[in-house]
Amino acid sequence: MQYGAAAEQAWYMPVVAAPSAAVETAAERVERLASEGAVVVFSVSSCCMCHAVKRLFCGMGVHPTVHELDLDPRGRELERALACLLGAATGAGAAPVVPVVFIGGRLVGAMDRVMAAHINGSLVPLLKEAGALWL
Amino acid sequence: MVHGEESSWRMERAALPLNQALAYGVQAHHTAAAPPPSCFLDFQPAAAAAAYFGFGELEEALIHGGGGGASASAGVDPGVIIKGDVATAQTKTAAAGYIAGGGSGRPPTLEIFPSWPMRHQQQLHSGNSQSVGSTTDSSSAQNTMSQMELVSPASPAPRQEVMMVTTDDYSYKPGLASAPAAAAPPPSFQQQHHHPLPLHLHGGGDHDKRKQGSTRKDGKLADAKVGYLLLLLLPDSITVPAFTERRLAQNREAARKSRLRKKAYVQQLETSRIRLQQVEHELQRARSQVCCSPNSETPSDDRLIMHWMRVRIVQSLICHGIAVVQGLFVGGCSAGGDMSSGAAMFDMEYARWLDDDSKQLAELRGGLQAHLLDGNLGLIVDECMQHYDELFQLKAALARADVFHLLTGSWATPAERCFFWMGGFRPSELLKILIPQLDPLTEQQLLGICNLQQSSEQAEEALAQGLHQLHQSLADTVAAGTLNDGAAAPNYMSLMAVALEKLASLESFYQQADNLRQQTLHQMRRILTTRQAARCFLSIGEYYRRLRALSNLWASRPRDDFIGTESLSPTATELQVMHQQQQNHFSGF
Repeated sequence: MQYGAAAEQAWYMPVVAAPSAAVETAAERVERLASEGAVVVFSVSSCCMCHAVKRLFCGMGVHPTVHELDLDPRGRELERALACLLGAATGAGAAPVVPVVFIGGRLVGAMDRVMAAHINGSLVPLLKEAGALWL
Repeated sequence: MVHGEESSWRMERAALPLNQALAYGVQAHHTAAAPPPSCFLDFQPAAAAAAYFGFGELEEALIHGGGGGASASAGVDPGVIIKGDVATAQTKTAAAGYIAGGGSGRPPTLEIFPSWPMRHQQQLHSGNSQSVGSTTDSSSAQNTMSQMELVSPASPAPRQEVMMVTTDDYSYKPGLASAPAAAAPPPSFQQQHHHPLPLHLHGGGDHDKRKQGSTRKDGKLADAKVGYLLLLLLPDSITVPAFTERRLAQNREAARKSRLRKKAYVQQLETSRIRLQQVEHELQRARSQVCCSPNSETPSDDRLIMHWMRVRIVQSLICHGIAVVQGLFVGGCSAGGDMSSGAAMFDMEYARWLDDDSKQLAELRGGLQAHLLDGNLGLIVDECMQHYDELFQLKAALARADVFHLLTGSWATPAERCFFWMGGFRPSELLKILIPQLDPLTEQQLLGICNLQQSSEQAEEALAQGLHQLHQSLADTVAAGTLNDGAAAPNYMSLMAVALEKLASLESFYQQADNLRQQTLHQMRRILTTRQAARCFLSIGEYYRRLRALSNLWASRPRDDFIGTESLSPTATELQVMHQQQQNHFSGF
């Protein structure tokens, strides 16, 4: 599991003027982050459902890229953007949107969609197609 | 109503003499011949003609139907109606229609003699006994009258029940008349009724009694009863749609039940409102305490807690209100005063689901044995699938309302609870049971099912690990800080708030578990052929039915402390008896 594209950016940053984070909208950032890995999971470090999703992928032998939104300075905006993508309510008392899973840059959805995909056998081909799973 | 229920049996007892009393009318109407020898009434030709005439109108009113109103007294007692002979079914309907048509401006619900007014029967018997050449069994009349005296309400004044077949529509002249209280009753009955409405089916009687129209609600009642008796006597040649009568009876019952429901619902809402006020007061007090304490937490924690509690209170009130209405509609409340409304509602719905389940099983079995075409069998299978989807919806609602009721599994039978995994069955376990039942399977199908088993195992493992982490974090939260200080610990309220939020995420885990089960069933449906899917659902249903039966047998196994006097293990016949006695089925799914 690789944690945080932000960490990677800090590593590579030195000379190249990275795309200014201030200009990029949250939605664009989500898209960018989602396409940076075969399997990308947006999560919150204290969320147990996110832990479940991570364990599911690890159990299958997949190493997802995890972005912890609570450790990201712009995490709130990302969360809102994800909520819009999922079509979920963004009220304060609503259920958390995370975890959100992207495979091969395409949105799979929240935990229930991931589980449904796994049960009906469509998750594994998707992972193989994205290159996250060998065999 | 008490009176009604008491008098319904009385009506039956009095039915015989009444029948005899009315027999003449029927005979006169239909045969226009001399009264049957069994009739003890010796009526004058005028009375007979009047009766005939009356019956003509009666029949008319019967045919037209409608107009019956609901009275304040008890609803129809269907048992009483059915007591009549099969041959009288049509006549009953006629009476029902009559009753319905007799009234004016009343809603078209049938009110079939929920209660026979005592005076009513009294009058009749008095009329009978006064008849000339009466062969009435005096003892029976006496008995009936004494019974009526016993049951007669203390203050007949408010009672405005019309006796017998007297309506504005027709008249039994000269002897038949119903009179209001002001009318001069026959002296012998004065003390027993205010509205003497004797059905004097003979020449003598109270000519001056005014007819009492059946316009009043209770009048319908009495009319209904009389009409019923008439129907008992009317021959089959009168064809009145039996379904109308039954329908009207059902309407009557439904109206009464809904009134009772409304009353109970309003009462429940009132108590809930009072409770809400009390809780709000407590909240205010707690808040003031918290604000006054030196180590007051940040306002956000306070607001969070109050917000939480408000949400929960409103939720529980709504659920309670819904549960009350549901309970009334379903006709019962689950036991347990400490059960939340969501749990109670789920239990009721689940009991209903179990009933449907047994019907589905029977249909599946029948469909398989009948070797239906795939199209028809597919319909049954799809219905079964919807049935299970419905259960998952119920469980999702329960998870939102009361997740602890779901996870403890108290809605399931003990034998089922053994195998509980996150509030229901474990998909991979179920698949293990099903695979041998579904032989023969093609290679592809076998492969598909094995893949399904593997993926469900992985998903189960993931969910279990997530839940485990939730448990850990919840335990850490609750144990945060120093436990020795008790509730006076510095971060007590904030700690509680965090723990509350963690508990909320419990609900999502159980929902995911149910989602997993649902997806597994759907995938099985996709892999299997129609016939195999039917067998699959049948196997699942039968498996859980057996677990339920096992629980019942276990619960009712004989346990004795006497050594050697009785056998400790139930014999086969005892088992069978116990098996048949089981009523409530609860199983975990």
